[in-house]
Amino acid sequence: MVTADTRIDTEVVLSVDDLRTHFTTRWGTVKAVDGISFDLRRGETLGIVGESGCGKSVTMLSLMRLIPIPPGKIVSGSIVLDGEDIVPISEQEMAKIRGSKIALIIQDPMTSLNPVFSIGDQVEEAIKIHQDIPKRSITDRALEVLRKVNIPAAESRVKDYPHQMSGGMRQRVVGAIGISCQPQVLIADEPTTSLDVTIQAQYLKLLKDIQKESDLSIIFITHDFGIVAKMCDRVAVMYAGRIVEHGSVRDIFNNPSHPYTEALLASVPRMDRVVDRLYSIEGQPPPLHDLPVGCAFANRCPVVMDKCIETYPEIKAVSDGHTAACWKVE
Amino acid sequence: MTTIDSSETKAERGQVLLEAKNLKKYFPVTKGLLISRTTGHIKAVDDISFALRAGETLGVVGESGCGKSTTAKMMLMLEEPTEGSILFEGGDVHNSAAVRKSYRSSVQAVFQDPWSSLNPRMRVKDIIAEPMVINWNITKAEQQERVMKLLNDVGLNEYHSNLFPHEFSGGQRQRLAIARALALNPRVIVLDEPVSALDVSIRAQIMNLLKDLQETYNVAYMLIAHDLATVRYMCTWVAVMYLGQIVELSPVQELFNNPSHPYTKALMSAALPSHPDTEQEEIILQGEVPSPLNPPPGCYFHPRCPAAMDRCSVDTPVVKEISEGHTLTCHLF
Amino acid sequence: MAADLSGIVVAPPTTKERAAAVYRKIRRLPLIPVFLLSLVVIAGVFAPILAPHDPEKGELKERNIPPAWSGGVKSVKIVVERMSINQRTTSVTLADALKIDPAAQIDDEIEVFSRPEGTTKFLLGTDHLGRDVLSRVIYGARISLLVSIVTLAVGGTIGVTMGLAAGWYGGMVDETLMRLVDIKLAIPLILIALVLVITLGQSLWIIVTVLCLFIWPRFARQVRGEVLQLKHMDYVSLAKVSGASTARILFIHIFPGTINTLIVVATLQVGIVILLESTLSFLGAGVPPPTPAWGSMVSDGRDKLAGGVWWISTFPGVAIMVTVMSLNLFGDWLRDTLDPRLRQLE
Ligand SMILES: Nc1ncnc2c1ncn2[C@@H]1O[C@H](COP(=O)(O)OP(=O)(O)OP(=O)(O)O)[C@@H](O)[C@H]1O
Ligand SMILES: Nc1ncnc2c1ncn2[C@@H]1O[C@H](COP(=O)(O)OP(=O)(O)O)[C@@H](O)[C@H]1O
Ligand code: SF4
Ligand code: SF4
Ligand SMILES: [Mg+2]
Ligand SMILES: [Mg+2]
Repeated sequence: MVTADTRIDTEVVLSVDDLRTHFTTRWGTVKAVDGISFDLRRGETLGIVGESGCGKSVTMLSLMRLIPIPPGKIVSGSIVLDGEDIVPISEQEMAKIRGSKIALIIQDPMTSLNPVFSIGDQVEEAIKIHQDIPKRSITDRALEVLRKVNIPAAESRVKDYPHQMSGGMRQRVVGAIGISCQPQVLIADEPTTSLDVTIQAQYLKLLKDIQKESDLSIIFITHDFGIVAKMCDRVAVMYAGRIVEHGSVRDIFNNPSHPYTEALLASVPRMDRVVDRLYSIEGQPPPLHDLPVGCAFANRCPVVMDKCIETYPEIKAVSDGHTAACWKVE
Repeated sequence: MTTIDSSETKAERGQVLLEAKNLKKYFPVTKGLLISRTTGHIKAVDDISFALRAGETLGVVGESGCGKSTTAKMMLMLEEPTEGSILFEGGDVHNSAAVRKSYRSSVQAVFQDPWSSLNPRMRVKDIIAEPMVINWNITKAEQQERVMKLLNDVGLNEYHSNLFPHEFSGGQRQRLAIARALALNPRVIVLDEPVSALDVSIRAQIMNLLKDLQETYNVAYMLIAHDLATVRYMCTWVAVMYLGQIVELSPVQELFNNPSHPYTKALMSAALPSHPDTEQEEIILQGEVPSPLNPPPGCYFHPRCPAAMDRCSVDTPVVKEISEGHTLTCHLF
Repeated sequence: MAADLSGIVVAPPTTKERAAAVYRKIRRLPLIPVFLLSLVVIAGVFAPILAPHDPEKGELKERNIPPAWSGGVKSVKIVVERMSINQRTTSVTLADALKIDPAAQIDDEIEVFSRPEGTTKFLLGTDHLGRDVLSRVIYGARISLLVSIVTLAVGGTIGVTMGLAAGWYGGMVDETLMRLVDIKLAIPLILIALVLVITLGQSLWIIVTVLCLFIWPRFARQVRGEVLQLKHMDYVSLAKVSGASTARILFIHIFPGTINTLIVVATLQVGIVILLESTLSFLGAGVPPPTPAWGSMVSDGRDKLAGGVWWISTFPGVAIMVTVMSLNLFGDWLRDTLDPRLRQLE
């Protein structure tokens, strides 16, 4: 496995700085993403973890510029992809970048494929949008990517419709569409939650193989630390719209520095050893439209202090390449 | 049983409460609109046997469609087995009305989807009291008293009893479902993926709650799961299912220390690691689970089995006990 | 206690949030239809108090009086001894002239009201038998209301029962009941009603029966559809696990789940019932005279329209239209409000 440390010199393909995406709702401003920053290097996998509603998917939508406007809006920050800030550019320009430089695989394979077109047509369509090549080569290229995602007998299956395939196969077709134009960054938003363990293992291996082959950078959005452990080089732990801890996968697992990360890790049962009792995180995250002034985790934190409630903890370095936003970190 | 007092139902930990013997469930597949004829059978559950013991948990794992929920439904008498019997305290529930009646109030369930398990039009207190209304001859005041106790047991309080289900979060709804399942002092609770639909941070709460309640009331659980780590944390026994059959049944320690069946090994290697440095054997199973409509001949697992031998595609393996309580269905043993 | 007490804060909605929710509902409430429907209901319920006159009796000499706001039509006519056949009515006979003016003589010119002036005594005028149109429209609401309620109660109950049975038991029960529904949709019920009336005579009960036959299938269909969904809910399985009887499951767990749909269907069906009842009454197969029903009133005034006597048909006609349209608008609103899928879009 390639670790973050060995990647330090490779080129940064995606750099997010102080991104804020807010939604205007009848309850007030929902700060779904509130000031997150990270860099993604070539060939690296970054995991974004956190519980439901912490802003993982909104981060992904912001990176793809797919936030519904209104009610949503990227209120500040920059997303520099391949040297260009994609926040201010027009929708037309963004449409060209989507799919070709940054692609997406989402949670639900059933809704991401159109039930009335054959899978061959759908892959070809994705290629056609971005590449100006003759019809014959499009068909060839479509077959090639379908083979790449291990669709058995791809030649005969291109005419199949999504409902004729199993969940695992459909998810591979979605993957094929994702990589069809050789993007530099692939965002995967819980692509395996609907799959069985053995099928999930096949799919994760496939993603890794493709990544190695084309030096793809992947952002893996998940709530499952197992996937993080298996797939990621670096991890960003999100809580209430912010990144509370960020570091290499070993930093996070061996030396979790934010109480929330610690609690999350202690609350999942383990395969490799007997756990007597799981830690259970009390309470619920604060509503994103009514965030406290201090640390958002304060109401659930086992080591909360007075200053946690009064002021928000700034992001501090724990060690090289490992940061956490907590007053406990000195 | 028409009493709140549960002392008589206390059993020794480990005592067999319920036995499933050679259960089968075949769903007929029919063709034709007016005159329908049966063209085949989906063998959802194909000859399985197991026992549930007081104070212990039997975990059932396997890929989707392998028959876990169908087994649960038969245990809950929501589906009639095609063949086989369920023995409760020694009596066959399908033969004796008396056994059936006591079975009904002794076996309860918690399902996966906390949004569909509670009637949205009923108040919490009525939802939890319903099993008592049906089975027990007690006054309204006694019922409500017990509802309050049950709410306390699952970590909710009296204030919640007048609310409607939509006013609760997923985790809290699952607590309500558990309170209801406990209402009759059941001796067995069937849990069909009780934490799968919940958020990561809530799962530990519910799992700990279930463990605590088992400790207090000495109930037997049948826990259906697809996550091996959950099974390791929760269970005393594990049954691994593949295509309607139990391929390996074993005490939990033994299974994790010494997984024996090729399918169990594959499941273990496919399971996600708990730490990035965990060394895992790489067994990536090829292909997908065959259709239960026409399972392959011989061992059902042979088309995907990395250890398959010639005879596997011809002879059907039988159940063998390789050590105390550890049974396997494979020609390798 | 055994359980850990984590994660148990349910914040009940604050009063402000509740008020806001209620306000949003009201804002979208179709105010005009609701207002008009309330008028109809009030008219029906309080008809004896509200109606200024007896709806079934009238003085012939007060017939065809126009609504209060319209003036009379006056003309000057010559008094003659005897009218010849086919003579244009620019003259009146002496006998008639004496009723208007006791001093009239032959060859006098006298002023004749060919149509009397409207009076505030009859706000909407009178019909060809001198009955007050307003009172009849008010009592007509009562008839429509009565017919709707009886039909809905009887037809709805039949439909709901059939729908519950078909959805719950499925199989042959479902097949049979749904074929019955199909058969009903193919029968011309209006013709049957006419035949029944000709053979048995006019009566309220025939209409109600026919209307019941007309509406039950819609209830049955809708309820069946709901039951097919609801019976797969986990809480139904859990009720079975607790030993609940089929009756208990159907009435405690399934039926309440169909109520939203039922309210919508019922609202839309009332419109259809009122329209049908009017149609039947119009065709003379409805509520027997002299009971004031809107349909038969329209029919009564029909042949007088040509003579400029428009008010006898128009007012009950407007009443029918306004009621049915309001019911449809209100029904649509109800459907949008009660349908949880649409509600989420708010
Ligand atoms: N269109 C929208 N309008 C208003 N609020 C929104 C919208 N989309 C998302 N949000 C809010 O933004 C927050 C973050 O949502 P997001 O979908 O990113 O969560 P997530 O971390 O992906 O959760 P999950 O694990 O359930 O997928 C939530 O509070 C959500 O309610
Ligand atoms: N009512 C039914 N009619 C026909 N087939 C069914 C029915 N219920 C389940 N099955 C089939 O039986 C097999 C086992 O299903 P199930 O027990 O639900 O699996 P799981 O292990 O995922 O819970 C599946 O192939 C499923 O399609
Ligand atoms: S800042 Fe304070 S409350 Fe927040 S996580 Fe750190 S210690 Fe806990
Ligand atoms: S019987 Fe043969 S095919 Fe089946 S699991 Fe054992 S070795 Fe594999
Ligand atoms: Mg999401
Ligand atoms: Mg299942």
